Amino acid sequence: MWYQQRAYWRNPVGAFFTFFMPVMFLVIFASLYSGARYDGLKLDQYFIPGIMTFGVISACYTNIAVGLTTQREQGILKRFRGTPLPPWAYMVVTVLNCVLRALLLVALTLGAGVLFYGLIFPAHAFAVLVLIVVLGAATFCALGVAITVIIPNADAAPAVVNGVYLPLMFISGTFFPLSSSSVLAKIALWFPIRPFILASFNALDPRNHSGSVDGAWLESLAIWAVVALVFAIRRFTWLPRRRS
Amino acid sequence: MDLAVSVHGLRKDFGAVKAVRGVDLEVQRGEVLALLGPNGAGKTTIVEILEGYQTATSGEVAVLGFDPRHDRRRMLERVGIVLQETAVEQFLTVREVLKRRAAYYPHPREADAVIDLVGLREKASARVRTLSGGLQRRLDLGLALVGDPELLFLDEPTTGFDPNARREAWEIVRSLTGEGRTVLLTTHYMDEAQVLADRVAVIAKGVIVATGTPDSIGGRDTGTATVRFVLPEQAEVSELGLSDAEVTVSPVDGRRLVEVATDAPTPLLHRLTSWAVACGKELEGLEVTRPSLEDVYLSLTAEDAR
Repeated sequence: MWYQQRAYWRNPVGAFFTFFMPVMFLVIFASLYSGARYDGLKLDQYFIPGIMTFGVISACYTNIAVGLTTQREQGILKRFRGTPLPPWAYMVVTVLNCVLRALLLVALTLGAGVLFYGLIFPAHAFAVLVLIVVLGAATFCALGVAITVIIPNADAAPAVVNGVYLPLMFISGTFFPLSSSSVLAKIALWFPIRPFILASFNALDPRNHSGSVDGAWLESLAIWAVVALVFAIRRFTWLPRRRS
Repeated sequence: MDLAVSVHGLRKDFGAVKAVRGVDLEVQRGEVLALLGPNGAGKTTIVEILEGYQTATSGEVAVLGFDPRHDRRRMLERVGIVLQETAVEQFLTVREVLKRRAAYYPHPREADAVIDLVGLREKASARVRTLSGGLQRRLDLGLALVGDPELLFLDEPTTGFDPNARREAWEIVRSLTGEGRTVLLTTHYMDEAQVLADRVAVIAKGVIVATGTPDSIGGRDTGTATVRFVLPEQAEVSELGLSDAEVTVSPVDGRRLVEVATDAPTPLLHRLTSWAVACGKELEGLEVTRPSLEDVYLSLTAEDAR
């Protein structure tokens, strides 16, 4: 398992796009938005959890989808299937490594938010937030694996992966707040990104004294996770699609 | 179970395409079998079925006594596979890749021992992406060996190698079989089959057309030989008493090259040399050649153009 983690960090291009880019976004947007207010709070209070979710999605969904497709097409997955290593073990390790990176990214984002941008982190939010992040990470990992099924080759991977989630990111209000009553927001609620953002925002909301979060959002994430998992288990392929 | 691999009546269809059309094959423990055939003959399909990557349409297959589809994990613990294309992860070091692979097996070899075996000692701490194609292929072979397998599948192991690298690779393969391992290799190189294999199976268009040792396959050792020599200046072919043999005479460099195809080269040679000695003449360039493995292979696989 540790070997896989090491391999990730040594691939500078991969690491940049899936790990550092969210941090970059944080810095850029935070300076753009500084001073703005939303709903009675600093905009940062809304938007930094948004960046945090972007980070988790990037470290999990994007990373897994592109990574697995590349490995599949290069024949690396086929090789693993030629060893006694059980396929589920490979998947579990891959997912665990992504979740770890996601947690690291969350810590970085929120840490930077608190230190530099005045993010308010209610102490009671910690446990709930961990739950939300882990659930989110698992969901997006499952979605990443599932989407590899429809990606034909490594070149198409970034296009398909980004094409699917970027529009959703925008209509889910990741980068700027969206009124919950708007049509787009209601559509977005059917997909996993907006519930993830709302749950995170709500957990960190200093006005939320109980630290509890609407269960409907978590359910939504869980349902997406299960659907993606079932789809992936049935349809995931280990052998390259191209005919050699 | 003294058969390492046992195949009966194997068929594989891809829709309407019949890639494998009834193949029987047996590989004894400790032997090296080369599956020789042109591209598209079905060799990779057969090997992938044995490795468990694909399922047969019909027929029975057993690898080390296991069903490669249903008992795959236990089979894989005793088997090493080198696929046709090299595909090792680029960002780890040689030693790391081997150690990781070793952890998947119940009785692995030491990573450093395998590094020495395949001649990568100098590159043990180098990252895979810094290795040349040939060295990565050697690492591939090392990965297949680290589990200490009883049976090794080598799919076109030296394709793309320069002659030195090929010889080194052959040395490695030969040293493995000394330890009692079984090897099933596919190749389209005649010399590779000749050098490495105890037995050769020639496959074309999904069917095995011949099996035998490299020296005797296709009747090489008993088939038609060719005797060649240059006809001396003043002699005529008719003097040689060769009426019952196939004779061709071709002008080469202003002299006449005679080629005689015969099933009985020894009496023929005796006649020719007696004649030459009696006339006091020299038969320049006298040689006897048997069909090469390549000749046999080409004729066997050409026949199949039906």
